Amino acid sequence: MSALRPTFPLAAPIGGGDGFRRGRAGAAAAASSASAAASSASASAGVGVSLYEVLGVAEGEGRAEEIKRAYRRMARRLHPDAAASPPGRATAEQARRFIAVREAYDTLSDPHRRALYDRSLASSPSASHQELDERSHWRKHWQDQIAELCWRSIDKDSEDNLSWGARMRRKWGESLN
Amino acid sequence: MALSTFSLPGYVLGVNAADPQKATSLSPHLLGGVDFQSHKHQHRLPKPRRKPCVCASLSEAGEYHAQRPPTPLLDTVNYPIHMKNLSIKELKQLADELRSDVIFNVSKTGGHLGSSLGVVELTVALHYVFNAPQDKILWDVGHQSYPHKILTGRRDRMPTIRQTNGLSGFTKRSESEYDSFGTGHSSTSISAALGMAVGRDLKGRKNNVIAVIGDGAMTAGQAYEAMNNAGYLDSDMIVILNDNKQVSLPTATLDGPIPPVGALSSALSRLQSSRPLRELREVAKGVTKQIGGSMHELAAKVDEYARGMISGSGSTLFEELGLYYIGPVDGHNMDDLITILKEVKSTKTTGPVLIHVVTEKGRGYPYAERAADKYHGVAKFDPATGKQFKSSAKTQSYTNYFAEALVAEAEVDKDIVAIHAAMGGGTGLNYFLRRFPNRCFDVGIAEQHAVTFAAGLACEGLKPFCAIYSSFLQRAYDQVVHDVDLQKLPVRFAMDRAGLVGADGPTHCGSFDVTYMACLPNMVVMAPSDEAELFHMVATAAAINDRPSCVRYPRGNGIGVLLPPGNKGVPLKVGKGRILVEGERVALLGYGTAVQSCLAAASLLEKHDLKITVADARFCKPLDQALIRSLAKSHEVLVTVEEGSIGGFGSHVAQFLALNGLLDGKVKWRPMVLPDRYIEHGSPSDQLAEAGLTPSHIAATVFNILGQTREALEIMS
Repeated sequence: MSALRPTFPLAAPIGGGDGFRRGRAGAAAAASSASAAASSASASAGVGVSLYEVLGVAEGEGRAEEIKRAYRRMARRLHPDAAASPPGRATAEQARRFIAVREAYDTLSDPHRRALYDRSLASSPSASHQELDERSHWRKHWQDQIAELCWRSIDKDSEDNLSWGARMRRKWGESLN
Repeated sequence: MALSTFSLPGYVLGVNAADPQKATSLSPHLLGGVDFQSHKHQHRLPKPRRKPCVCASLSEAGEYHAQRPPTPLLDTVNYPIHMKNLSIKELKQLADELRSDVIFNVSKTGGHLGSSLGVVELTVALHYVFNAPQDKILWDVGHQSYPHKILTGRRDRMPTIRQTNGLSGFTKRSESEYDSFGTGHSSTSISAALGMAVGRDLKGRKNNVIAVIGDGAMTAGQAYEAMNNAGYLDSDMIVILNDNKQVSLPTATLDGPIPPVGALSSALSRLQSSRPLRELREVAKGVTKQIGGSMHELAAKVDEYARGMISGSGSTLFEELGLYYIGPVDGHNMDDLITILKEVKSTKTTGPVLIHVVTEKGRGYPYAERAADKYHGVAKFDPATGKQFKSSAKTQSYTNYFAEALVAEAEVDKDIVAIHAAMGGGTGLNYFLRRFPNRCFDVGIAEQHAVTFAAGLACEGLKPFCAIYSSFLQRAYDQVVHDVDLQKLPVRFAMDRAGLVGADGPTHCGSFDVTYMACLPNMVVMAPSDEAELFHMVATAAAINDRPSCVRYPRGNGIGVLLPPGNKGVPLKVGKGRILVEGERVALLGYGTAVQSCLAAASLLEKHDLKITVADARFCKPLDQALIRSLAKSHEVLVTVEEGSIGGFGSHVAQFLALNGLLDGKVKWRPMVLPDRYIEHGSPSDQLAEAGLTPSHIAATVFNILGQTREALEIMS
């Protein structure tokens, strides 16, 4: 397999290739929803808490059975209908925790999503425990967006782009040649 | 943001003798109706980290310089071209110097401060990266353009800003080639920028077009109309969303900062706080590795997907409209701003791009940062202490009187509700909001929606009062005609800033409302001649429940007449004016506060032994036909006076006179209206003189009609 560039270049991108078509890359979809769930579960549970901690199992070790048992245990305790504690007490807090548990289970019970999540934990083990400065997050964020702008530029220049702007750009581009 | 002025809500003086427990606080007003928000809410806000000030002359007593600090770098920059060789470090220093320059200039002239301070770095970065005036930079509303004006050859004229014959407080094409578009009303910049971009494309030019719009202005529909069209046309342009979380004006109620209205603000907040899932990106790249195949194509697909996740749920709004979203970006970080702008500029084809810049209103001036209203609009102030100079006035502004009147009406009638469009302070409705928190609606900068919303409320039996400035109601004219007047729904319009408005100039001038309201078949149109009349007219409007009605009143303070007890007006008989002074030969029929000028003219004429009649029409529609008939029959000369354009009160009187044969006799009718041109910004007295509606002008007109031209000249000199 050809060597992959680790990051997308900010300079002029590689030429060639047709326009990007918006399609569903199945793995990418799973990856995105896994991490989306992961982030929201972590957010519900609190920053810096991993999904394993939410369910109360050892990280990475639990088999499917253990995950399921842990989930059932937590659900029995937290579910509003099944709750052992008297009704009306701290139900908002309980509801929040239950949602966190549910989302954690959704991710960890699916072997594929769980694998992706494990990998993400491994690659940046301390990220979930770190309060990174918001502004430095922003910087990484827009650096990625700028990188993407280059790709988008190719897309916009493709012959398939029929927008008014594209037609005008082509017209003036031709007249210069 | 829909702007005008800086009429901030004052506190109400205890005019209500019946309620001594009501807390009173001193609320002095400047002449001309400029109030200011006191600092008493400072303690409620968290202490921000303070940026260290450059230079040595920090005052002992205050937190800012007492004297203007030296600005060596800014002194070398007259035009953006002088900035091109500066290093980033020097640009940061330039920004600091520019900031102090803005503060010291505004401290001497008054004007808009907070918004200008928030965009200093952005202005420097834009002029550094782009090449105005070939590259078009548009500032939405324009009240944040003070740094822009300083950097584009107008620094020496900054002391004249907002004054007669001085710089405009907003951008203006006739003032400078660097001002690409005239602004003053909000949310027009993206539309204009798109027009300039398309014009550029049609002409085959290659310049950049950049629109800077605030999050407040983004709440207006026109911004979406423009973005929608921009996404469709796909022309290259840049929209910079200046997000400082302030969407209403002033940016505070009487009791503290206003939480942003509308769903857009929470979407923007989510954008700012969403943690980018960098981990996901790595994961996604790992996935690409596994899948293999053409790295280029797949990586792009994954990237597009990942971007959807990284950007969070809010950016898809702009993406769906077709604008490429970049951000959020720290708007006070010069490095970041310049990097991003350079990158976007150097990318060959971008289509429309939206850069979400987060700034802090009032940044760099500690008093502004702490104030609940962020010093949006200020009078002259002392830079070292932040204290604004208030001159005492014996009366309050018409705005305050309106608010009191409405509160008094709403106390006895629970169906009265109030609506405004992001102008809680400017309309005085912040006071109403505090008293009736559930009956005051701020819809954001959306006048069209406000009017139809009021119509809907009226259908359900409520009594809506729409408080919208005369010039801003222009935006909602079709809604007034079609949704309110055509269906005869009893919506009440309270049009503040009618007539000439002083320093804000023609962009905010309410010259046309008599014309456009009085021509509507079902509308009751009235105007008070003083503040007591205003109370009565608010009561009248509240009582009119079978058709729409409107009241117009000017910027400025009352004249000091006795107010009705308990602030509760008594409804007037609709279509009945009154005679104020009985005289002979000449009758002055005034409409609105022009009546005061008529009374002053009458006393001028009395010195020349001419005792004339002065009448207050009160209603333009329906006209007091009996009064006009009697005036026309018993006088040689009838002069109608109003502070409005042609087609208003005078025209309605003329129509009536003509149709009833009253012009066939001996009476001479003359109208006095605003001239058929825009009156530039300046002091109110200068503007009135320019318009030819001062008492001297009225008296001279009378003499001219009577043939006594020498006396006319005497009066005018």
